[in-house]
Parts: sequence; structure tokens; C-alpha cells
Amino acid sequence: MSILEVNHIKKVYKTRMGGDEVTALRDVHFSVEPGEFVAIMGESGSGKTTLLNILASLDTPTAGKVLVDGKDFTTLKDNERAIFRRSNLGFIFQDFNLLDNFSIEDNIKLPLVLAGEDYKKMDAKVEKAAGQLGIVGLLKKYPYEVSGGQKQRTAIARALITNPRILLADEPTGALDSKAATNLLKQLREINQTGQTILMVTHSNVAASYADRVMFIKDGEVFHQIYRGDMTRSALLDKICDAVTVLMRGGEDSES
Amino acid sequence: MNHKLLTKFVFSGMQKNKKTLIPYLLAGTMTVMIYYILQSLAHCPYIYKDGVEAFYGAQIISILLEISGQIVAVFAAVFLFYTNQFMIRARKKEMGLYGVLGMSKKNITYILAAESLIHALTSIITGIMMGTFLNKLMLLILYKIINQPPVNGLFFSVEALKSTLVLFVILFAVSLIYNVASIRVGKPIALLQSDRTGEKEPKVKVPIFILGIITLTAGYKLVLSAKSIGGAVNILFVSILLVVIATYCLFTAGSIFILKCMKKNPKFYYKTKNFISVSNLMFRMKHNAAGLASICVLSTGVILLLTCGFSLMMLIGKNIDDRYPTDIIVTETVSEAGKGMDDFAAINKALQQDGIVTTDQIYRQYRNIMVTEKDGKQKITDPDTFDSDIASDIVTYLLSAADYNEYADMNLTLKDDEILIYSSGKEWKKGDNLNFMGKEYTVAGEAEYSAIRYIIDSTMSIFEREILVFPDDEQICDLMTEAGQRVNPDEYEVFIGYQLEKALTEEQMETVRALMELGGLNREAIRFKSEEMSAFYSIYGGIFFVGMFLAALFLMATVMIIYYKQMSEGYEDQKRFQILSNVGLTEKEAKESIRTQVMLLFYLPVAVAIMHMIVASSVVRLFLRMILIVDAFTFDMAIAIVSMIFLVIYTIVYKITSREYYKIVNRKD
Repeated sequence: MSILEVNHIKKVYKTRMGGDEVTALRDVHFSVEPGEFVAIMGESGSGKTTLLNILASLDTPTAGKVLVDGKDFTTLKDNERAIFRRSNLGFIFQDFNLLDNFSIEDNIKLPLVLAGEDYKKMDAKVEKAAGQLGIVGLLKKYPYEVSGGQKQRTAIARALITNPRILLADEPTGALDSKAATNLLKQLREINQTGQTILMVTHSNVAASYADRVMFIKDGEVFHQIYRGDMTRSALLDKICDAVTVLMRGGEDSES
Repeated sequence: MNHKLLTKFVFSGMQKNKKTLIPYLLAGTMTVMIYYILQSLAHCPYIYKDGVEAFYGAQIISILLEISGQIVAVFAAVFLFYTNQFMIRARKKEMGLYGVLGMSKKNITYILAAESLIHALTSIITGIMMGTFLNKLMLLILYKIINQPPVNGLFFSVEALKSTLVLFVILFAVSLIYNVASIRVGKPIALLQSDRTGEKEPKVKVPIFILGIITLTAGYKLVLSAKSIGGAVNILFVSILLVVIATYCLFTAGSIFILKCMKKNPKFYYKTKNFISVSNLMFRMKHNAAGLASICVLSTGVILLLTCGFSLMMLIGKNIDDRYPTDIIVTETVSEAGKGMDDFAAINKALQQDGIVTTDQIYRQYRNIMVTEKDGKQKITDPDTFDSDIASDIVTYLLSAADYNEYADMNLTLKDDEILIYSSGKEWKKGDNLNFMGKEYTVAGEAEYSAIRYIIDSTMSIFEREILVFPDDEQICDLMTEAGQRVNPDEYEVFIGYQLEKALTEEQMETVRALMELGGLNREAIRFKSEEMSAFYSIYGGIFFVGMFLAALFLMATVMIIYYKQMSEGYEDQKRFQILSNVGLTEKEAKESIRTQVMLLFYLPVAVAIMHMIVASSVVRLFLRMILIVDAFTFDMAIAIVSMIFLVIYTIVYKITSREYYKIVNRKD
């Protein structure tokens, strides 16, 4: 069974006066298998952020369903959705979203604390996650004292500590320099190899080339997909670049 | 740039900032109103104008009003600058944006000046208008409090208008200059990025924490150890200073210390609610501790003022009865034997001639000296060392057993070394020993209150008082002679009092006074209770009235400081709660955590203020004893009632503020 099923979702925003309607997602339909690393690409305004917000249960679709492990969460109430979110999903954001008044350690512990876990079991989990990401030495520091790459690794540790079903990443390399970005992507790949399902939204071709499958979104629909199969990363990158070019040409065509 | 367009900016800016602007304008208006009312009452013909008192004691009220007007002026300056700073800080980003978009500094100055003008005009005009309407009402309330019949007629004081205008125009102008200066100094891009980036976790400042504990202990100890009025006077300044220092130290260092302790306890810390609250509070305390300490000190002031005011008003009638036990009182110091009795007879005759019917006539004579107690021995006070420690000085009244028997209607004989004693300070038991002016006496018992009722002035005195009854007059004379030339042994005090059937008219009082003068008595020696009552009500009612005004002002200041604090923090916390919600904090949990934090920040200063008040209550009561007797029960009730009222008002503000705060924090964008 698929771990995530996105079932013909549609999202329409109404302007405040109730006049014009803006369709952000027309009809998005796809599924993700357990252990898959999927990248979603698209230009700004393609609807990829809306899609991620819906997948993250931060927003609800106008029509359609989102099933995680066969369970539809779009119909849950706000509070239940928050609980669903923290027990099933892990997040990484472009601007890290670390709390500056918590130490790195406490930032990582945050989801555990929200889940009401026994504090005695926390340290071992933090150690494991921090070890995996190479930030053990930073645990006592505060976010303002560490680099962007380290912040993002902290965010990953925080996302992974609850063993989420799916790790959602929103432009995770957006605020990093290329070296830190490469390191981070390698790390995500490693994490994926341990069986973690990852869904990443990006508009960086390089970042997408680390995924198993790349989906292109355009005008609120899934436009194209590329599977890695047994391609090397650079071969995949070439294909992605081609696809992006086609995508952009298409855009030009429709404008003219 | 086009002025029309700039003016548009002014109004859109005000519209956008209405959440901070409206409280600012309200505070401004209220301050103007309070100042204007106090000023115009001070110059009001119904109280005191051009040297004419509208009623007996009115000048005192006028002076009180003037003084409190000055307090309000100083306070208004501090307070308006403070709120103005909040306003301008919130606007810096907006001004930065205007700058980046190409507006010149001149244009920005124009916007600020226009805004300031609107603020000033709104506050001053509304304040004065409301003040004019409320003036009459306030006057009537004041008249009611001081027991005067209400007056008709309206009044408008040009002087008050002038001084109000001058004061507040200056204040708003200075605010404007400050704002322009702070905007002009900054580069647009720096103004735009005035958001703060990450910062260090606060450390416990151990020395300050220790200092706080020491000063608090010392201050409280001093306060609790004061047992006499003199003692209370001695420690007043030091103890206030100590407690204020302690409050600031403990709010800054102590709060962080406690939060750190909470953080060190993983079992407590790693709970959803505590986890978020504790670390947020740690940072909030770092920024707000001093503000909270100020709120605490202000609140203590408000509660203190209100408590004293309420006690005064509740007890004023009883105190007048204590202080003026009879309707007519004559007190004098005579220096020849028999003169007192002669005067008594002369006044009796004068009253009779005037057709004044008395229901009771009282005559008392006694001697009066000042002694100092040291090591259990009482000696006559040396004028050179007087003042050094007024806690041990005692006003002593000396009576002979014969007089005592007459006054108390008793038949008591004392042995040569026996005395009766009554003391306002301590309790004497039969068989106790007292060394009085070098002679050993045995206490034969406590003197009857009925005998001394007219002698001992139970109110107003900063000294302890005692009455000693000696076996005979000779012994008193001997003692006084031995004490040296400072005391005239033939000098004694006389109290003559009359209860009347009917209250006297003013003419009758004047006649009595004239008759007394003819009889060779000092005009000042006679006092009429009804007249004194009016003065009493003027003083106490005036203090109460002015106290209420100041309390209202302090309360408003407290409320505004808290409101602005919460607002500015709301914007900072918004991002934090957004992140928490992304990670899976439910709305319910968020609400709960916000409530814990806001409640703590809100109620901590008040709780500490009430604690200060309770500790200080005994000393404050001693102080009040200088002007009136306050029994413990009434006083405690006053504290309880005032605290309740204060808490209710405070809670209303809390509800409004926390709702606004939650709205800000929960805004999704």
C-alpha cells in the first residue's frame, strides 16, 4: 500500500470580497511508496507551496483527499490535525524554523515534549538523531551560535526524532551556500537509505537530482514525472534540466 | 513631495497603528483631564480663590490640589515619553520603508509633525472638554466627601486652562523632537531591519540576586521590628529604599534564577506546557523585569494610597469624637495654683449669661513633661539630645491620687512608692517596677481610662504617651523640682470641656470667644468641635480626594505599561508560535501556554505588591496614628477591600490585553 495518496485534490482561494477566484491546484493526483525520495519541482506560482501546505495538514483542500497510510486527515478538526501532524509528519523549512530561545538540544526535543513523552527516554533519542547528523557537539549551543547548515541539520534531527511516516522538506537548501547544500542533500539521501520516506519541494535542479523520482507541477497540475531507475545522479540531473527547459518553453508558448 | 499625498500617509499610518495609537491617545486624554481638573479645582471660587476660603479649611484643600497637580505634571512627562517611545519603536519599520521608497527625511518629518499635531490636539482638546464637564461633578463629590452642603453654579478657570495648555504643548513638542531625532539618525535600511536576531540566554546575575535577598530581608525585618511611631519614622526612608531595591533585584535576577531552577529539573521542564512557557518567560523576563518591578512599585503605591484613604474616610467620625471629646474645649497652661478652677468658674458664668445650655461640664488638671526611656529608666528629656531617637521619648502626664480619685470617682490611696500607670506603648502589670527620675516605684495597677480620657490625646502624636498617678501633689512637685530648672513646678495644664444640648451658631461661638477674652483667657485656648470637624473633613477629605486622583493616574499608568508590553511582545512571539504550530502544537496547547505566561507577567507584580503591603501594614498603621487612630480590623479590611478592587480592575485589563495578545500571536501569515 502507498504511504501517501494524494487523491485528485483541488484548491481554490477566494479573494476577500468574494469576487475573483484563484485556482492554486486544479487536479493533483499521485501517490508515494514507502521508502521513496520524491522531489516536487515547479516555478513560483505553480502551486507547489500550496500542495506542501496541504500535505503538511497546515491547509485543507477545497476538494479531494490526502491519505497517509490509508487514513484521510483532511477531514480532521484543527486540534486533531495538529496531533496528527506531530505524530506522523516531520518538517524541514527553508528558513529552518528553529526557536531562538531554545538550545539546539531543546529544539530537537520539542516534538517529543509536545507528544508528552517521558523525559528519561528523550536523551537517548536526541543522541541518536544528533549522532546521525553529526551535531552532537552543538547540543548545548543556541541557534544564533551555529551556521546555516548546522541549523538545517538541527531541523532535520528535530523532524526525524519522532520517527515520522513522511519527512516533508520545503526548499531545504534555499538558504544555504552550495557546499552546505551539497552536504545536506547527501545527508538526506543517507537518511532515505535507512528507509525514511522523504517528500521535498524545490526549484533547484541539483537538489531534485538527489531524489528517486522528480515530479513537475505546472498550473496546479502534475505535468511530468521522471523516475531515477538506475540512472546516475548526473544523468538524472541532465534529464531534469531538459524537462525544466521544456517546461519553460511551454510557458513561453502559452504566453504568446 | 505633494503635501496632500503626505497627509494621506499620515491618516493611513494612524489607521494602521490604531491598536497602539488609541491607548496612547486615551492615556494622553486622561492625563490632560486629570491635570486640568486638579488645576481648575485648585483655582475654583467654590474652594479657594484670591485668598478667600469658601469654607473653613478650604485653603488646605487648595494647597493639596496644587501639590498633586505638580506631581501629576512630573508624572505626565515621564509617562507620555514612555508611551511615546513604544509608539515610535513600532513605527520605525514603517518609516524605514518610506525612506527606502524614496521619501526624503523632510517628508518623514512632515508626517511625524502632522501626526504629533493630531495627537496633541486630540488629547488636549478632548481632555479639557471632558475635564470641564467633569469639573462640577468632581466638585460635588469633593463637597460630599468633606461634608459641605452642595453649591450651585458653574465655573471655568482661565488659569487652569492656561497652565494645562502650556504643560501639554511642551510635552507633545518634546516628544515630537525626540521622534524626529530618532528617525533622522537611522539609515532607512537599518530602520527596516530593526527586528532582533537571536540572542543569548540570560544568565543569573548572582551578586544582584544575593543583594536582592539581603535587601528584602533587611527591609522586611526593619519594617516588622518597628513597634512605635517614633521607630516607624526612623526606619521609613531606609526601609522603603531597601524594599524598592530588593524589588528591582529580585525581579531581574530572582526571576531568572527561579526559571533556571525549573529548567534544571527535567521532570518538570519537559512537559508541553512548562517547556514552552519556561523558556519564553526566561527571555521575556530579560527584557521586562525592570518594567515589571516598576509596575510592582506603582501598584504598591496605589494600594497604599487607597488603603490609607479608605481608612481615613471610614474612621474620621470616630476620630473626631476621640480628639474632641466635648463640644467646647478649653485648654491652657497656668502657672499659679487655683487659676484653673477660677477660669472654669468664669467660663461657666459666661456660658450661662449667654443662655447656652450645657449637659456636662468637665474639669481636669495635670502636669505634663517629656521623658526619655533608657535601659528601663525614665528621665526627663534633655533638649540637646532630643531628636536623636524619638522612639524612646514619651510624653508623660502626671496626676495626683486626689485628682485621680475625683476624675474617676474612686477612693484610692497609694503608698509612698506606689504609682498607677497607663501607657499607649506597653502594658504594665501590677508589681512591675519603674525607675522614674531616679526613684524606684512599684506599679500598683493600671489607671482607669475614664479618669484620663480628657487628658490623654489619643490621636495625633508621633510620641508614645503615658499617664502616671502619684500618691500626692507634693511628690510631683518635688520630682519636678529635682529634675532641674527646665521644669516649672508650679506650671500645670488645664482641660475644661462642655457637652451642649444644642449646636452653637457661628454668632454664639463668636460671643463666647469675646466673653473669654474679657475674662483674660487666650482667644486660641477655646475650640469648638463643630468648627474643628469642618477643618478635619477638609484635610482628610482633601487628602482622600487627591489620593484617589493620584491612585487613578498610577493605575492607568500601570495598565498602559502592561498593555504596551504585551502588544510589543505579541509581535515577537507570533513567529515563535507559528513555528510551534508547524511542529504540531495544538491551538488549545498554545492558548494554555500563552495564558500561563501572560498571567504570570500580569499577576506577579500585583502579588508582590500585595505582599509588600501586608508586611508594611503595621508600620503604615503606626504612621496613620500620627493623624488618626486606626484599629487593626478596620485597617486590614481596608487593605482587603482595596486589594480586591485593584485586582478586579486589573483582571479586566488582563482579559482585554490577553485577548489582543492572542489575536496578534495567532495571526496566520
